[in-house]
Amino acid sequence: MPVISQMKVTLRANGSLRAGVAIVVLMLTLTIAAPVVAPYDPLSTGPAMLEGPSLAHPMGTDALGRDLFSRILFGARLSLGAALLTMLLIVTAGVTLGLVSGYNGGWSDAILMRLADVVLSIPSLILALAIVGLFRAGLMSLVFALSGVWWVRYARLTRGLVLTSRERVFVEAARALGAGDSRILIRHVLPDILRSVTVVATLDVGSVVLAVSALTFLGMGTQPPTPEWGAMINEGKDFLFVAPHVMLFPGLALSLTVLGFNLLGDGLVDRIGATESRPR
Amino acid sequence: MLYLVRRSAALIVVLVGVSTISFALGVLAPGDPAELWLERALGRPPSDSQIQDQRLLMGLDRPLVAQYLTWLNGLRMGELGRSWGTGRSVFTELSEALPHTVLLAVATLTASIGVAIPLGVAAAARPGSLIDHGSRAAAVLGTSLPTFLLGYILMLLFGVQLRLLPVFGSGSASHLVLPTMTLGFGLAGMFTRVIRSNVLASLGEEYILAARARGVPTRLVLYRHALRASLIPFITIAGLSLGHLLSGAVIVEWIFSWPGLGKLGVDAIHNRDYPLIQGWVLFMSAVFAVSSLGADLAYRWLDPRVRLAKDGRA
Repeated sequence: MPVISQMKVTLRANGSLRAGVAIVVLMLTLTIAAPVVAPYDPLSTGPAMLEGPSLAHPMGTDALGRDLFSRILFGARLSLGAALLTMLLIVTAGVTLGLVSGYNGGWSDAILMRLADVVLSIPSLILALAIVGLFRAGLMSLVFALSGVWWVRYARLTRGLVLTSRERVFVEAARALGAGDSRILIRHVLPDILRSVTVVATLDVGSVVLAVSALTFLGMGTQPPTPEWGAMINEGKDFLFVAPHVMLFPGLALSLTVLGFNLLGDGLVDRIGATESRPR
Repeated sequence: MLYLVRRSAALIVVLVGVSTISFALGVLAPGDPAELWLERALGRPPSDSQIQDQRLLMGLDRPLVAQYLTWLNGLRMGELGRSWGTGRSVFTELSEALPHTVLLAVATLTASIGVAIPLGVAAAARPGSLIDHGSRAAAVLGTSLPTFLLGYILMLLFGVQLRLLPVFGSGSASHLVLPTMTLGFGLAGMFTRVIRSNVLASLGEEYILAARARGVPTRLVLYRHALRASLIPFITIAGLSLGHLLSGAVIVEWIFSWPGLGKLGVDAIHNRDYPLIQGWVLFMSAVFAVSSLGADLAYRWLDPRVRLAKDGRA
């Protein structure tokens, strides 16, 4: 198992990668296991309102007496689910368009790149906010709006990588052996560039999680009873001065998750940087 | 000069593109603008004939291309329509909010550079020291902590626990402190890391060795020689952070009720004020594009190597 032993070396060598993996694995496990771990129904209200942490409610209760710990666990499903779905859409759309555009060139490439220039010249959170705001607020439209403004970076990155990759010897060899364009793209060019795209995407997950929660915080995502981190922070802000824990606990969960993904990404870059400098 | 002309031409192309996108946003958004406008103005659902009249009045019966050309033509004169919320010109609304955002952005940039330079130089002078590790941890924290959480934590700490600073609104210098800290925390962390690595790299240069050999004190070597060479690439980084600054300002302004462009935009979205939202997207992009161009020009002006090499005169 060379991959496993390689991974072991990595994990030992790189502190931030190790910490990042630990946090991300913990968060994802809690997210998946939410129904098992959560002590209460996230929607059921109780008599104890705005109470601080206690044995019965490890993170206290909110203004309607709902258990915050349970709400945070279930909120993770929407917050992280929306972020990961966004990431998936961004990478799929960006890589596909970048591949085709970079490989074929021509007028479709020119149009795509001009479009990319324009989209990149609008600060992404602002455009996403305007799109969700004008269309319909909701978690799915938020996912589509963010993907709509974010895929461009991946299309650009992929296109750049394809331009170098398609000139490499193995592409020429494949063509000499009679491989068609689509086979060359999928079997030869794609694997060659996927590694760089993966690293960039890993670095970006934290930003996407933050962007999703920023939009839900501004009221563009879920509607009130639904637990979601950004929305919970927004609800908690009204009680900031009386019961700060209502806002702080979801905030901490969010920050810890983003920190985990950022450490993971940074660690991965360090690690790839170390291997990349070795001749392949 | 040629460079400036070329960049300005590119800027115009981008702005026409952005204006097309903001026009398209209004066309694609669900709901009939005439009906939405009437509902807001009358306070009850309008009749069909009223909607018809309003459509004619707003020019919605004309072909899309004609509407688009009118929109573009209006832009040339800074005409972005009227806000549905206040009935005032969108351009006036935006240009009244602009100075507040500029003030916040300039204060944030100044503060974060002011913090980053001494910290970054100190961290580079002693890699592995407490300052180095501390600033690194703060930088990681700064990129992971959502601005909205940080804003409320600072509000709680300085406004409520210590009762030092006002937590909402604008009007005095003390109102600026918390929004600036919130917006600047992440930037300061990033800047510190950039300055540290740049200074560390230039400390290996021969002119540093030469300065040391001449007996120049360490402090002067660090600040006058190593830092100076590091500041030029730093301007590019600062320029790149402008987009981050504008996006961050949206949230920070909303949290602290700072009457800038960010708060104006979020309020417009909550009000479903279509013309204001469209104008806002366009205006924010223009501010972003123009300030990026400014940063680029500053960089070229400060570094003759770039200026000469790219103009082909070297």
